[in-house]
Amino acid sequence: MKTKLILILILISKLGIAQVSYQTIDERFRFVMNHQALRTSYFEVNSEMFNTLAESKEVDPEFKAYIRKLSTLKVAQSDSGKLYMNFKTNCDLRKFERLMMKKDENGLMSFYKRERKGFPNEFLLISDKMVIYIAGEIDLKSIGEFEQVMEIAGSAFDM
Amino acid sequence: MYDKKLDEFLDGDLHPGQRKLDLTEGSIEKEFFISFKKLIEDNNSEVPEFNPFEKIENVRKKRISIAKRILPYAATVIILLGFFMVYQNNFSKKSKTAYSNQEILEIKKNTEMALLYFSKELNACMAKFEDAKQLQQPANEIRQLKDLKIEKDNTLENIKFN
Repeated sequence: MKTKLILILILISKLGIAQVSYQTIDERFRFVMNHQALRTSYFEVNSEMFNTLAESKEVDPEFKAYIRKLSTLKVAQSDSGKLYMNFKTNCDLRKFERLMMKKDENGLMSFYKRERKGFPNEFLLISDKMVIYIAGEIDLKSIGEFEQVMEIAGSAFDM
Repeated sequence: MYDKKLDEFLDGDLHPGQRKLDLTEGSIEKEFFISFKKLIEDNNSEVPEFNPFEKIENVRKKRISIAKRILPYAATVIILLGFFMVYQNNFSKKSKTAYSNQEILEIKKNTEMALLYFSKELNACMAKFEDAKQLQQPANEIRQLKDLKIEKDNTLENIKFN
């Protein structure tokens, strides 16, 4: 009886450890960036850089107005096609709300959102080949409007 | 005899090793040595300690104590100034980080690409969602009509009891 109880306790503690082992978005990005097997290219812009961009003469006024609202942008791109599962299984997305999920011949894609008082809104796009994290004083509508912003700016290009 | 010896002694000409001194009790030499010793002792005891550098030393002590008091304040001020300078330096370095036009354009291009990708995918998903809603619309309308018909036909439900 005692042995069983000890075994159950060990199992519970292991489960606890397993739950704790989820990584934050930042930690996962860092991991993915340093993981050579994933062959990831990584790009990050912080609020200071956004301000610098907004002050630059090279940038269109529409784009300036848009990026002033942003505080962080992180992009990880990989040819391995394993990014979706990598983030989905190892990242703590419980605090995020899944907005949409798409599955087609290109693979899986999910959109996540996290809104907190006193913090910038966070949006996450996870697909097999690309993960994009955007944080800032923006909402889903304004992200959707970016395409139009770029068209207005006249610098839209093919992805 | 006494005067001569005393003179010799005072002149430094007394050499005890060369002359035999009479140190027996009651002898003049003995008496002389005793009284001389006493005189020296009295002199030593009576003369107050006189330090000609006392004032200077006091001033120096005062200076040291003032310096000791001021030193922590000065150190604090210097450390604070140091921190301020380091902060100022870093801040100015950060704010003055110069990017070349090419770097700015590259960052801008990458940012645009990422935002555009996100925006396009989001819009595509939203469009699909809207399509799905429109596809479901006729079915919903039929369901609504059916419900309306049931409601209309159900005479029992339309009866209002007083």
